Amino acid sequence: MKISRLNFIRTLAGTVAAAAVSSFTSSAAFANKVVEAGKKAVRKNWWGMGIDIDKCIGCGRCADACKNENSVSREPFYFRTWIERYILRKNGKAEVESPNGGIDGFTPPSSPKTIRKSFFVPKICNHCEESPCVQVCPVGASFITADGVVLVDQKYCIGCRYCIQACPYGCRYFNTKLGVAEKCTLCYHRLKRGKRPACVEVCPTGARIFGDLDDAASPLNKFIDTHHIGVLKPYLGTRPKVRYSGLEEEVR
Amino acid sequence: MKDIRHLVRAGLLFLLVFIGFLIARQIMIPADFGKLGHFRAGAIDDIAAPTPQYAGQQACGECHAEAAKSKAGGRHRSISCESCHGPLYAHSQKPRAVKAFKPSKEGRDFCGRCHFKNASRPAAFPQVDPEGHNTGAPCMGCHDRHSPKL
Repeated sequence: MKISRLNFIRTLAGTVAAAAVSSFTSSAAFANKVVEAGKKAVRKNWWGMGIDIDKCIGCGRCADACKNENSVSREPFYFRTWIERYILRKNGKAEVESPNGGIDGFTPPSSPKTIRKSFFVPKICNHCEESPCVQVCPVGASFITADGVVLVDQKYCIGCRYCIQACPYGCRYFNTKLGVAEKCTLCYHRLKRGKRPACVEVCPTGARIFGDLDDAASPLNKFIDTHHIGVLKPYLGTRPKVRYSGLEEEVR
Repeated sequence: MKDIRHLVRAGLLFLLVFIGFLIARQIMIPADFGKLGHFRAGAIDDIAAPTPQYAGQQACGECHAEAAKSKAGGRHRSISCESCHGPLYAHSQKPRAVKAFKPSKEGRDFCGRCHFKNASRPAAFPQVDPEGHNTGAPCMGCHDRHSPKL
């Protein structure tokens, strides 16, 4: 049988393309199946946090405890949780500050007579259901666990910092010593031992509430049921699992 | 026939590179990658591995029943011991070797971190003006640290 050069190339190209498509679809289908199975089988909890802005006194204990618990660098600009102070002046201007993340506390605000309103807002990773940081990770180092915690695999992270750019809440930082992105783990090592996250543990006023969003009787759901709840930047569709009470529109 | 030999050679080269790719892929991707999703399943255990620094509220009362009792009746009842005494997991494991931080030796600034007057704090929260309220006197001279209301 004589095969023409053109026909041979056509057949070869067709076979390769068919093989590639079938292997791609089958592996994608398999991967999807695995992910679905994982989600359905393992989801026992759906961890989240409540933050009651009306209770925060800006003592900075939470930010300090976080650094103690997770060996976060003591240098400025490395925070897994921090506190912001908002000062809304009578002239309509809003001031936001977070000196050293609020770890050393806050001095009284300047010219108190011009203040309309002032309050503290603790910030932390929102552990979004639709995390932009997980979506952009090119290697699968950022992921969300079956119980809803967004984590970074230090061994897999290549240090490209795309996730740090992607987080709309500024909740990630780059560990220059290890060359990896880091963030709040919701104290995953504590959760696995039945303990609350360190920031929740030390908060003296109960401004931080930790709990399971899947459990109707959890302290977090009780907090959500009895307060007017908002999330940061809801228009981004990230579906944060950190729920705020007493959120002003100036807070982003 | 002569023409096909070129293609066979190209095909073999392609096959070789493809097999090389498969081997490299096998070696470089951890076995547990993709088990639970698009990540290394073992990473969860790595992240859950470190021992905690803060022991948690329950641990303290097991030894310090008296302090726990005095706190339970006072205004500081809902505050975790480690909020003021620092991280104490190591102390709970080796009580003699690792000592807790004692705020009673600290000055007014320690209490002031929460209680000095600050317009940014909720108005209902107990606050004092450090200049006008017994200037210079240690807080714990009058106030009990665990049950501070006079």
